[in-house]
Amino acid sequence: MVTQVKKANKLSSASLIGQMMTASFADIKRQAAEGKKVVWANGLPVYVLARAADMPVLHAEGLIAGLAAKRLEKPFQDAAEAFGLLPDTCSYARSFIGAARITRGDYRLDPSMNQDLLLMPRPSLYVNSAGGCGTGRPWGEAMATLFNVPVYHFEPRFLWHESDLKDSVADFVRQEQEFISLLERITGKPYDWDRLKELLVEVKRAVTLRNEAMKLCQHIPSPASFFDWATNIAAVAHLIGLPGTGDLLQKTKDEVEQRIAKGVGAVANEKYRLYWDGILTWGKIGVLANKFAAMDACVVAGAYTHLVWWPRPELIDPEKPLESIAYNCCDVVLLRSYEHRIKVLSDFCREYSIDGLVVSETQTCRAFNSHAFMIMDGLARKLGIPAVTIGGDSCDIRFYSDAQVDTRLQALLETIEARRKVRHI
Amino acid sequence: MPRSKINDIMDRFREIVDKPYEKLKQWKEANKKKIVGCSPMHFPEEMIHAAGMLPVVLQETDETITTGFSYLYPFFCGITRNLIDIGVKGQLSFLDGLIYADICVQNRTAASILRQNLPAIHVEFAQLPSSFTRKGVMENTVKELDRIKASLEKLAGRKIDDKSLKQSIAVYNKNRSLLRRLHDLHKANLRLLPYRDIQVIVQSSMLMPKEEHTELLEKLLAEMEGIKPPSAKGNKLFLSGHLCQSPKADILDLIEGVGGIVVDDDLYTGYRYYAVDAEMNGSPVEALAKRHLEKSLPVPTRTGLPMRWEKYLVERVKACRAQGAVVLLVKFCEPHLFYYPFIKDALAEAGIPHIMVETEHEVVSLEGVRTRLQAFIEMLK
Amino acid sequence: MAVGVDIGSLTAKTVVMDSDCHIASYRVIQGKIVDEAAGIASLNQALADAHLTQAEIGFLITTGYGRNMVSFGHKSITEISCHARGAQFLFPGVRTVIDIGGQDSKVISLNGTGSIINFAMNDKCAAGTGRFLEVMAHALEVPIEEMGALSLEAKSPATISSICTVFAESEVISLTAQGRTKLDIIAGIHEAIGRRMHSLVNHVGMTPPVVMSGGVAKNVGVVHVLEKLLETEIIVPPEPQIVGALGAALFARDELKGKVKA
Repeated sequence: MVTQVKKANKLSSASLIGQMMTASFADIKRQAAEGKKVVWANGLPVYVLARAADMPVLHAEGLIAGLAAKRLEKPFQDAAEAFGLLPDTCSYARSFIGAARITRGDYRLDPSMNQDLLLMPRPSLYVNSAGGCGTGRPWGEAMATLFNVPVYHFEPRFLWHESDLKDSVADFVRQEQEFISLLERITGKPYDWDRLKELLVEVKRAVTLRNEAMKLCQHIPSPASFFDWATNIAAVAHLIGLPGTGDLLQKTKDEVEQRIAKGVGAVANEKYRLYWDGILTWGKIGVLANKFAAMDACVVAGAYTHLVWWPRPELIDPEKPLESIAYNCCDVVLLRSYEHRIKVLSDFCREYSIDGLVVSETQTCRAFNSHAFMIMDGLARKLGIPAVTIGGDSCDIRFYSDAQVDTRLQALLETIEARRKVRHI
Repeated sequence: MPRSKINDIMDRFREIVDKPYEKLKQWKEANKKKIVGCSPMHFPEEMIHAAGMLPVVLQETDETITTGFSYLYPFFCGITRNLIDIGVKGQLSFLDGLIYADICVQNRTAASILRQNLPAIHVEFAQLPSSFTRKGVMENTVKELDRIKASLEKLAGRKIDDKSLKQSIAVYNKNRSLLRRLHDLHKANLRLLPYRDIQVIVQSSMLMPKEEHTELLEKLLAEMEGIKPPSAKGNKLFLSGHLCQSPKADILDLIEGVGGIVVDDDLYTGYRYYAVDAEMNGSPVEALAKRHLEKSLPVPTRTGLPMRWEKYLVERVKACRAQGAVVLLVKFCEPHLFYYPFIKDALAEAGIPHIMVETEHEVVSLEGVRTRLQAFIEMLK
Repeated sequence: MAVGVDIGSLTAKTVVMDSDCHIASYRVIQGKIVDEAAGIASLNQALADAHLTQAEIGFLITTGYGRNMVSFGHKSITEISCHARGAQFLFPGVRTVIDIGGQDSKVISLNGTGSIINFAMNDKCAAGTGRFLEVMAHALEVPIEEMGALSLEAKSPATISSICTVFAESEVISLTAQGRTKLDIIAGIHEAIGRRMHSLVNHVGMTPPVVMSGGVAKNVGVVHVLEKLLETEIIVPPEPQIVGALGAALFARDELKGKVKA
């Protein structure tokens, strides 16, 4: 049994995100009260297009992950399950559908619960832009049916061949144009292209800073951890384009640079550098961060934080907003073939000096966990990097087992140690 | 006696359904023709047929998953896990090509994993547009079908011209019309064949040359016309669900064993497969696209359909005057899972009792299913 | 005489009804898994208690998991129908029956005239069943009969979030290592069962009055947690384990009276 004396050295800038999230939900409610038409959305951040049309956007992953991190997600899941949605389903979808049930009044919240956070205003439009996941389709249809509102389904293509990217981007741009026409019909106003370009300037700033800061974690010891990047992920997801995100990420980058200058690591005594595949169990983010720190292991990077949200910041050109967004939604790791993924991961592991792989099962997300075994096998064969799976999910905490994580993490680190000893013989 | 002729033909069908991949391997050795497998739902097999290759719609087998465990987590649907398992064990080596149409995240995973691990097989991924209300959905569907057509031409070493494609559509339409005849015969004489046999007839159509199946089915229908089985006693039920894989015969037997009679269904290895034909006039690729876009039964894998599945289901149940519905839900089938709450409500609102039975690849608890089904029948009485 | 025999996973129960529709006798026998011998033993003992012989059995209905696996009995009816019938007999007007047995649990919803409108079962996993309690009692080294009462004494119940019995057991071990009191952990276990049953109830909908049957109904802690979660009183019959056999006996009585339609 591990006694956790060493805690994670969290980025202080990351903690600002909580306030920004809470403020953003309050702001959505305020705008709704003023008569603005609200958009509920899931998936990749193409919904930023709606922000330029002055429509407040409630992002599924943002809301649910944020609540799950505070262990407030259960009423949403209960609400969805009360109507027959089984727990095998994607927990992001299930929780957001539960939120819809609560908003509709189908499911009564216990009066002791935080109505501010749990009771969101009805949308006028639903947007599904799930990347690499067909589940967004019945999810979006369910939401549209529950609220009796139009739904727009973005369909980024699965890149079966590397050469498919250009066509995919062109097709996505057409979808964005169609979406914008829909926004114009709903708002009754011509689209504000200038506003979109302004937003893209802020987006470019934010994601560029974040990517640069994340790259600095190639430094040994790593100044920040995957758990920090997961904590502030909303800055490039739910909050993207909103004021303050660029500043927050500038603070983040500054803090990371200062740590490097002082030789301070995210983990007090970094002995092992790990990569995290899968999403993480949001409700256990603090526990996990401390658990790894106590074992002198720094999770320096992960798929969810590094390869999904705005992976091509260099291609963001505010004068070409639709293409910019399209590249960043079409070149996401979930839309890529295994060959591409293993190549990207191998490069990653070399650049970040990775010793081992932690694969979080993310039991209800088949988009993320689909290639887990092949990836583990591939990296082991290519780079000799050992891997371990741990039980868990994104926001359904029932799939997580603390004791199991302890055992398996310990086994992974022992394996890394054993291989190091062999190399020295 | 007519019954033994019926049995002879049924034995032919059962043979191929019991051991599909073994039989196809043998067929290939004997006929020296190429075989292209397709995943269930959405992809028009006629295109493969028109290229002179044998199309087969892949079926879930009863094989216990072993090697497959090291390729994929267990929380995927049965047919995905099964096909990956038997794929990596070499049982699909007889295939020259494999086409997966984009349906859901699970089957996309299967396509990717099989492509990676079965390099000798040409694996294609047909990304047919999933949003039926998007501008240009017909053009994009035709475009994607044309792309796959070109890929099939390369595999076959010959062109697929409009004439051949039309001929193939005619062959498939003919077979579908016979299956519809079987469907009507069954509804009129519910004890004609046990439901597991009805399913075998549909499944075998997916696993053998269409012309051969048509010939056998014509003979079978001829034998069955005029047979007046005893009138059916029992509770009339509608069977819904199982969008890709066939329900296990044991479960179909259980339904009948506890006193239920299946009068109609919306299963893939059932009514969905043969309900509608493709048009014979105009461009054949467009006809196939149209069949998919405009005539598909409401399905949870697509968006923007004119009618939602649960509404359609209520209509079908009412039309066949079933006393209740059995919703067979494949565990982990997300398209179905997300529709289930609406199906539940719609059936309740229409006053139609239903029972939902989750099914898995591994037959974990047949007794549990028996108890549920028996209790449901008791409830209906 | 009408007789009902409930052959469950670990116990066999028999109820003998007399001609005035009273329970003449009943027996509960512990046995091996789906044990025909236990079924026969419970039958013979109940008959003896009622001073009857096998020849005097007018109609015998079997129910429970092993209903089709025994050689005796004229007919079998599922435990869903039997628990509903038995609960109604004991408490006319009951609308919801919650049965938690050794290895499975179920919720049955009845309409105003006593017909079943819906039901939900959990028979795939141990969570929320008597087995769950057994495993936890064993892990905590507490006699299972004391678990319920102890759970009521806790000041701040621990949270056990796993749905899987195996995972939950490791959570209990973790909590013990963290220094949580046995009482708090026991209360947490009961809350976990309550939550599991609550979600099963939600599948079916709850209308009071609610009756609980099955062995676990004897656990005051589970009853208490469920009353809190469902916000309703839960009625527990004096012998909750025989409700299924009682229902079967009542159906047997119907057969004798010719009430059953062909």
